[in-house]
Amino acid sequence: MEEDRKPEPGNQFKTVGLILACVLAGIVAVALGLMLADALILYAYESSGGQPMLYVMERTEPGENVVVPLTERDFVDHPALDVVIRGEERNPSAWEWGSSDRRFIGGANVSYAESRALQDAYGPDRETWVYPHLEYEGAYYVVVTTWP
Amino acid sequence: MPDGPLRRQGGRMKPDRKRLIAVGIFAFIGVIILVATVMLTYTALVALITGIDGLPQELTVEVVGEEDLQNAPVIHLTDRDLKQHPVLASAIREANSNPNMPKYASVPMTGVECLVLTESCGVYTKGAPYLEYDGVYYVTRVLLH
Repeated sequence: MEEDRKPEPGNQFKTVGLILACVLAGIVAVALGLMLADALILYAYESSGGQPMLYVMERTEPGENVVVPLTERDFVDHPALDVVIRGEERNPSAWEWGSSDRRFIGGANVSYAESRALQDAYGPDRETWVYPHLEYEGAYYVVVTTWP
Repeated sequence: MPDGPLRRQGGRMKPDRKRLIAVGIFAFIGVIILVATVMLTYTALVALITGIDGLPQELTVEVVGEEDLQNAPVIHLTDRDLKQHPVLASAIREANSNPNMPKYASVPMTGVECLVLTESCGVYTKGAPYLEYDGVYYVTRVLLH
C-alpha cells in the first residue's frame, strides 16, 4: 500500500503537461474569442444597412505632424481614397469656412471593413491621437472616417 | 478472464482515466466559456467605445425666405454635396417634408460629420452662411446636448 502512494515520476510530467495544455488552450480561447467577436461586430455592422463615410481634408501646412507620402500603392489598396483625392469625388470647398488652414476635399461611402482598414492605415496614432498628414503632389491631406 | 474484475483490482488506471476524461470535459467547457466571455466583453467594449463620440450633436436646418438673406453669404449646394454629406441631405429632406411653419428639422450627427460640415459649409461657425439647394434657402444651427 505504501508503495502505491509514492508519486510516480511520470505523474509530475503529466501534471506539468496538463497545466501547459490548459495555458495553451486558454491563450487559443482568448485569441479565438477576439477573432470571433471582431468578425461578429463587422458582420453586424455590414448587415445593418448603414454605410460609413470617408472624408478627406486638406491642410495648408503639416506643422509638427508626421508626414507620410502617398504612393500609387496606397491608391491601389484604397480605391475610395483615390476617388476622393484625384477622382470624381474630389469636391473641394473654400478655405474660408471653419478653421482657415483646413478645407474639405471630398467624401465617399465605404464599407465598414474598408473604413477600419483606412483607420488602421491613416488613422490617428494610438498614443498621441494625432493624425498623420498624407503628402501627395505637394498637398497635405488628413483622412477621417465616421466609423469606428 | 473477463477484464472487469481485473480493472477493479488494478484500480489505478481506471480512476485515472476517468479523472482525465472529467478534467478534459471541464477544460472543454472552460474553453467555451472563456471564448464566449472574451467575445462578449470585447463586443461590449467596442460598442461602448464606438458609441462615444463626444457630446451628442444635432444639425438643425430651417427653411428661410429669400428676403431674409440680405447680404449674408450663400453656399449653393449641388447633388454631389448632398451625396457627400448624408446628414445634411436627410436634414433638408426632413425639413421639406415638415408640414409645420417654419419648416425645420433636426438630425443627429457625429463629431466627424460636424467637423466636415463646418469645414465645407461653415455650419458651426460665427455668421454661418446660408445654404441653397433647388431654389430653397436654409439656415443651419448645431445643437450640443
